[in-house]
Amino acid sequence: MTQYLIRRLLISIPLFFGITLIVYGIYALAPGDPLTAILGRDKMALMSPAQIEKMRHDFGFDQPVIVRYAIWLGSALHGDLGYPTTGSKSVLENLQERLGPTLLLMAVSLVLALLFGIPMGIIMALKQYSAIDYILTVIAFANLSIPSFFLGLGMIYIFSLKLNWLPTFGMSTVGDPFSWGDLARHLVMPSMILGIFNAGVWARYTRSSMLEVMHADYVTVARAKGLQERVVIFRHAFRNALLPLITIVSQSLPGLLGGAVITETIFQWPGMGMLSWRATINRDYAVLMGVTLISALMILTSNLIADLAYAWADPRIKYD
Amino acid sequence: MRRSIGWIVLVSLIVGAVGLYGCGATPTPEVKTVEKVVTQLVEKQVTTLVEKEKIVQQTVVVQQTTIVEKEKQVAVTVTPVVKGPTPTTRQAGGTLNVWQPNGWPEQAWHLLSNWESGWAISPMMEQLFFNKPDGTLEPMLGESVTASADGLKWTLKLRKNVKWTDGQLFKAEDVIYGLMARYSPDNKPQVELRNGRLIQGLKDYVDGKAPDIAGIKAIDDNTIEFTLTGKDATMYSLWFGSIIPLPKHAISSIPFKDLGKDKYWITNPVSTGPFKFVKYVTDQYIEYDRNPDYWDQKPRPDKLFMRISNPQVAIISLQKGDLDYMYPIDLTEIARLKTDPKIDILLAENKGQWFGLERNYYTKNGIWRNPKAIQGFLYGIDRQAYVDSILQGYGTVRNSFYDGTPYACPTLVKYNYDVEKAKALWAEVAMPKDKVISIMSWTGNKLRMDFLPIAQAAIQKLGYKSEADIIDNSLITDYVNGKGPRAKDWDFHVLLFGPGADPGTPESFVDPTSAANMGYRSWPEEPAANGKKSPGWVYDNPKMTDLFKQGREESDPKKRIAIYQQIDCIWNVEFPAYMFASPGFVLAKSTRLQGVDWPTNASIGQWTMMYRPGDWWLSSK
Repeated sequence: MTQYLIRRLLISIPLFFGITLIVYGIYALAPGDPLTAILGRDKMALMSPAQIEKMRHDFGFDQPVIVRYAIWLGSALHGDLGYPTTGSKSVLENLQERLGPTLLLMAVSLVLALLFGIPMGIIMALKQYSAIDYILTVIAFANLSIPSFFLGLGMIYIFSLKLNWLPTFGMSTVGDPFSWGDLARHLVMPSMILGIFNAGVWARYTRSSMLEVMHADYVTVARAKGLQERVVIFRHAFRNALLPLITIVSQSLPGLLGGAVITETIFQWPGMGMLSWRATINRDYAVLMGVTLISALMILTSNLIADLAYAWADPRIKYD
Repeated sequence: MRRSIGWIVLVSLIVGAVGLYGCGATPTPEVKTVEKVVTQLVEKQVTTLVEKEKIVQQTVVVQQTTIVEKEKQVAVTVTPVVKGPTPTTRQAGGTLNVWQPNGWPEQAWHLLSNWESGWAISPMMEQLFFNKPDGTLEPMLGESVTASADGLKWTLKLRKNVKWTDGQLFKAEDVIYGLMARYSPDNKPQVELRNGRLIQGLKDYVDGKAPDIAGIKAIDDNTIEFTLTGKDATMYSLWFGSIIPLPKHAISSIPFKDLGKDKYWITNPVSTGPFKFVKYVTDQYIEYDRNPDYWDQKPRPDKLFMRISNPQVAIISLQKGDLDYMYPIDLTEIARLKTDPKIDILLAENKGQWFGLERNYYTKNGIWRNPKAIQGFLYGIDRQAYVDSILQGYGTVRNSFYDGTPYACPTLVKYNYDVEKAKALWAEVAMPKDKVISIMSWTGNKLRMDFLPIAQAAIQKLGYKSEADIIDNSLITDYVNGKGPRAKDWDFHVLLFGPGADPGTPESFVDPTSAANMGYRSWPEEPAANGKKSPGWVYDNPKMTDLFKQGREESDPKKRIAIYQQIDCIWNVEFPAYMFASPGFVLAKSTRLQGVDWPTNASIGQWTMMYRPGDWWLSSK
């Protein structure tokens, strides 16, 4: 197992650099002039060709892509991810500041999704074709299909404006000292939005997976042995149904980071999603590459966690 | 059977949920179509300081705007709106919450490059002057500006006894330091030299050839002299109206090359404005406290929060009472918000910018060289319909570059919608029957993009085909340089432009190689080998070029008005670029917020800056 872990970690290194190279290349291939995007048409219209060239040089846009990547990588390896095109904070400081709120939002939404999604899936499988199965199926599909932007605004309208139960946006109440209670109140709506979507997906997968194993011979044998139904379901059926779920959940982790772009923007949650959205609009490549680094790390880490979880869930899986 | 029960339960639940939602919603109000045309009177609240703490307030009508509020075709929910009498006693205390849409991208004062950043610093930072629409200056930190008889020496007097928030006196050296920081060659990216090009030594400083700006000298702590190499009337409007002083004593230890990225701007910037910085919580809010030592009358609110959120959520916050001030606002929301008893909608005419069409000056379709082709196009587009539908009635049709300003042609020709006239004019200029007219707009402004279908419908009515392109910001250069989907054969692109702070702005439409130090320069930059305008340039009128030169050199505001009126009369017929409508400035605010002089705020060309926020106050009612 240890050997496997080391081998996977070593493989992750070139994979990690490969991801950054490809993403850097894609950014460079994007049509249009990044300098125009940064400065704006009006400003550039006032500048002489010499001034424009100087600015192009200042931003490094006059270098070949591979040279720019090499310079960026060299600096990144020394912990210098550069500066955004505007602002007083470096890219690294921006990432440090944003990572915490995003991880918090992800963690809470993940817990919510697991708490709602998996039990929903199990109930749906156990009560197949019953009224409750249909109701939960409708709920699961509704979770999946309602756009988070629409759902977010709807929730704000009802829970903040009409009922005044929850704050409208932000991570804390302006002017108030920090408190966990205040943070929790601000977390409710964005984490629900993210959690609801994943709960819907995971409920459907859990249902299918459970239905498959519930008809397996070993479940029939367990029942024939006279085991309690609870034990049959959770020890024999659910554990075997977990394998595809582990894959789905682990693949959702990096997606939560990306999926949080819309949710963070609606609720003004100061996380990575909002940072990457702004950077995309402004074509701020330094920031985008910083976000890419984090995303790549998350993908590699979640894949590794998934592999380890397979071994935990299914003793037949060996990594030697 | 079990399946049937399941479906019955499911349908019952859905019906129940819908019913519950209906019960919880506001009862359906009476809806009827109101057809009214209201001429909006802009009221300016004039305050007179009687005692230190007591204000007598009177309301006088100072201007009748041309903004026409049209609610034709709009189904208005008729709900009695009780907003109560306007409070008249200026109250102290309270927390003012204003909206900030896109965070605080650029925190360094000397590198301001977008309006959101200007907005963020406007409660604490002060300019020397505000530009007034008549070309005069309203003193803030500056007291006066005078030009010598030959126009080559300008003397700036500063307000005395103004203090920075750290107790240090505001001096001439702060103004000069602000200019040196702004134009420092160490800035990356370097700030373009736009205004004040004729100031002696400024270009050498910008190019890194001189350590100081030779033409700027402090005579004493409150007087600065500017020496020019040639006459430049825009010094008055563009230069002195845009200077941002910086506290030299607080930041001189930071090299210019590091100043833009220094944490000073988000930790403890000292300022002279009515509010002082407390803290910035990234993408959440900026907090300010009242500046107790403010040089003008004491600001009223104890605190000010600039709260960052997306526009849809901000509207909900405004309705909820979490925000007091919201600009800009989606015009389609105005009719709904007007019925809210806790919200005031303030209108102001936009005299500084409008939507218009810039030609492809290098197009092979020489047809647009003929003014009658443009005039026909103007007659053919129902611009009032654009105002009524896209601008929701909050705007004004424009017929020339200076229409609505003191520089407008006294005998302005109005091109009211008339399809037959349009057809006749296009027949007269022999518009080719197979001509496909292409119009481009770029992203970022919905009102601009929404002009495309209106124009296309008009072109179709005139019997021609059209193509419309919506282009990303970063692709504009390629497009106008003939590398887009239309190659070099595109016809127009939609612009939001206008005279802004100085009437000389459109000079570059007339001559792309002009030495004008302001305004738009049309693309592509392809001057002929002799450095003069390209022979392909679609517009040429030596009289216009000469008039713009006169306007640039004339420092007397009254004489400038006469010059630009002549320009406007030519523009109104020949249209080097043509305009269709200006969007009105619409502000949504809470009824508790008082003292906002929105018409002036909008008229000074600084609608994205707070105009005298120290005069704002919060009613407890």
